[in-house]
Amino acid sequence: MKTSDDLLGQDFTETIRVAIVDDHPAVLVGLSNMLSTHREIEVVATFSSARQLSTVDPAMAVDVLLIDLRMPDVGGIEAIGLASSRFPLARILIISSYETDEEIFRAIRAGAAGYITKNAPQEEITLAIRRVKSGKRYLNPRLAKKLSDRLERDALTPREIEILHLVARGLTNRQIGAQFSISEHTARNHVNNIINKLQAQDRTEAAVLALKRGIIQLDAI
Amino acid sequence: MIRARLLFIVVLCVSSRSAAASDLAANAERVEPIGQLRSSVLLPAVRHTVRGVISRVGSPLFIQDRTGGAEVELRVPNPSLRIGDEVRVSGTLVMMRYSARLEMAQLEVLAPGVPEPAVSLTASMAASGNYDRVYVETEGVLRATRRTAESLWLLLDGVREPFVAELPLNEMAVNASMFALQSRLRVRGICIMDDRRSGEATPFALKTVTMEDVTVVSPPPFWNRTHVLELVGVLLLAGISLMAFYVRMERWRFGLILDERTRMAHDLHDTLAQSFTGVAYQLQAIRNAIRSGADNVEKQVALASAMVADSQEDARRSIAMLRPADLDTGNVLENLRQQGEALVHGAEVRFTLESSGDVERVAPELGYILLRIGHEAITNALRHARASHIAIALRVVEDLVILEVKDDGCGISQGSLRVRGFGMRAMHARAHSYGGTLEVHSNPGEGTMIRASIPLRARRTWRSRLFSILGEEMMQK
Repeated sequence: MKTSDDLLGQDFTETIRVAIVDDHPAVLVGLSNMLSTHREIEVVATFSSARQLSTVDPAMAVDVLLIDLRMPDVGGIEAIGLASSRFPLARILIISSYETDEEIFRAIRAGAAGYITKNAPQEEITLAIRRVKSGKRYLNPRLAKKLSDRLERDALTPREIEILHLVARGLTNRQIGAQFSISEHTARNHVNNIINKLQAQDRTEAAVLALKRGIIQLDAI
Repeated sequence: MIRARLLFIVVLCVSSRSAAASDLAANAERVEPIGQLRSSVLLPAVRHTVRGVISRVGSPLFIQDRTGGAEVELRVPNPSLRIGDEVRVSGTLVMMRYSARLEMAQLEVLAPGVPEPAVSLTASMAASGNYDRVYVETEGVLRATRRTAESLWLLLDGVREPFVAELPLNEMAVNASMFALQSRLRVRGICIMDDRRSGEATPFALKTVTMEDVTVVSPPPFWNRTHVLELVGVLLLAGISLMAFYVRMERWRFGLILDERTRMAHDLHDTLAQSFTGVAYQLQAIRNAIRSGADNVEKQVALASAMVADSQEDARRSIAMLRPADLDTGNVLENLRQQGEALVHGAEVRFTLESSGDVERVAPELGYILLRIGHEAITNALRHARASHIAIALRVVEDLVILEVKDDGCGISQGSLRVRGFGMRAMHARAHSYGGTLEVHSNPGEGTMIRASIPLRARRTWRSRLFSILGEEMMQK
């Protein structure tokens, strides 16, 4: 339907059907209300957990799925996977309070079409929704820069990420070795690799950088 | 007439000679106390006779009686003499500084005797001079040894007087290493006041005969230089390790504080920050509605104010978690229920309470620990597990109190159990601080059961005590 009084002064022939997944009710309600005030957007469903996605009517059509990355039961990459298997045609747009380069990288790699932060102005949110709906990607320049930074770096192996968690908890090489049943020497090699890959000065800086970039997250420590 | 004069002369001569002879004889016969030889007013050339007991054979010979000792130089050496023989000695008197000496002496054994025991003296008594040439016994601490051509000298420290002991080398296979420095020795020997052969400035020397004359009273005391140095080293090491331990403890404490801060930050992020985000979106929605002249603005504003009220509730909850209420620890169960309901605040959560056994036996201190564990368990159940039913049970079985908090929430995976958060660690720490244990049984989707089993009377190791002191101090902040 055409509207002459569209707030954003743009005309759309089609309504974009949006579904939102966020664990916090206030965000869910506020965001859905805000998006609903846009004529071209229709919020068709809200979910407080990615798990709920599997319970919906498969016939429901969703164009854009807004997903919070950090949720207590199923979050992040897993949620993206769940969503894309449930709504194979939907485009996934991440809306997160965090903007660490690792999370952006992982989300995009997992198949998200875009990434915005929760504090983005609504114009950016709606722009992102429209962009991903039209088949493009959306990352604002700041997030795009973070993603390219991340792509330049050597990726940490899963083992190194495991070890990084323990480094961040303040464990010594010996304790790390004991935890994974590897020698202290091997643990030290791993830690040295981590420090090199993150281009850090020492293990403390490596842990801080890893947290900053979202390679590891505090609640998992 | 001439004949008579001659006779007179002869008689005179005879009488004078016999008088001289009888005079000599009388003098030789007079036995003097040895101690009085030095004060004798008689001419030195006159022979003096003393009676005494041999205290040392050889050359010179030493004799002594109750008044003192003297040296004797025999005219004819007599190898059959024994220590202890009672003898009469007459000889030419030679004065010495503290005693006397009889030279060209003749000796007569009066009786074979038993050796007299040494006079036991302190070093300062021996130094007085009254015991010169007497067989004495005294004690001192060995400070040094020195070897000369024919003797081994021990330099000893009496109470106030240093002295030396001479051990003849010819007779015995002695060497300095037989005596440990700083050991306390008892030395028997002839006290010689004016012996300077040792080269030491000591008031007297003890001339010993055999090894038996030197006995060890006590070995070197512990407080010698080496041991003191070792002890200082050990203390230093202990100090350093204590410091290291303290630093570690501080780091651990600091880690706990950081954990707590992290948890608070998360808590605030999960609740307040999200609420604000939601409210911000809602306000944006209202603005959009006003601009577009929509008619449901009032409804949207009402929703916004409800969201703000909800945020206030979040804030209240966060604060409640930061500062657990000052608790009456008497009724643990009732307290836990109240706390739980305060945390829930209106949400649809049911609490079931159950107690068995003599729960009155729970001491206030233990009650406090149970409350903190229970509080943490309930908070977890509400915050993370989204439970709708929480069962709290308190049982006293024999000498054990068991607190169980069971919920029907989403559970915790074994993986995240291992990577315990602050709350879990704090619960374990509290249970351990009283000698108890904490079990967590949980599987995703099956709820969580936390069971603390704590003895009614604390079984505390020093470690758990330390843990509880440091831990509680921090946790109460």
